[in-house]
Amino acid sequence: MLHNRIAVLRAERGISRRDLAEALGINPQTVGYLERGDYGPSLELGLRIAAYFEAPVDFIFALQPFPGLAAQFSQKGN
Amino acid sequence: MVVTHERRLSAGTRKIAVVVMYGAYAAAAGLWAGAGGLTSIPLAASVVALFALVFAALGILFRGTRYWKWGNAPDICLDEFQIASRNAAYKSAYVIVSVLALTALFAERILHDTTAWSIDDRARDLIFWGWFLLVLTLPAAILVWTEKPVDDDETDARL
Repeated sequence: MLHNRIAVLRAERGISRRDLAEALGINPQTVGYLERGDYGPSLELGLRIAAYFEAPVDFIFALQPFPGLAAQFSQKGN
Repeated sequence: MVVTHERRLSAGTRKIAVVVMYGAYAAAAGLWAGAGGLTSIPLAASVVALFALVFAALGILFRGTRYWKWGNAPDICLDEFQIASRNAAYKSAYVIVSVLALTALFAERILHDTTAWSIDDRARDLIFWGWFLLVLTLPAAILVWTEKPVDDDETDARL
């Protein structure tokens, strides 16, 4: 399964699924499927998403689950 | 342009409409063929009502949602997820139609050889129109059936 940070990045920027979908040229519900991990995007769509968020692809997508915020904070604390 | 699949109907309602569409046709065909024709007014009224249910369910599904368009639109009108879903639906539909066709052919052949039973013209017509309905609607009906619910677009849009 492909994990991603699309929902977090979208929330951080305060944009709706519809806005993101329009920018990417896809259906708003497809954004929902992507965010939930029900659908793994093609390489092309993955690159378009990365370009939209101006972030590296491997920052947005990963094969392993992303650590939660609490885990990241505790790592920083240590 | 990307085809949007509006979710004016809940997943449960959509599934009920699919069951009603195929079930009502099967019931009407069974009544009609089983009785050897429309031999009484109550029977004719029942068959007409069941066919009306078929068309009502068809209308609800394919006018009230965008599944018909999604299931039949050219690639350029769909995004990559929709294309993948549509292709998967067509694959499932092909398997279902093939299995049903082969089963019907073998059943007819075996029944004909063992009991000298043969299908009459009325039953043949009903099977033909049922097949027509199934082949035309099955890919879109599979999309209706398999689409997983997603949160409403705007409820969590600005977390």
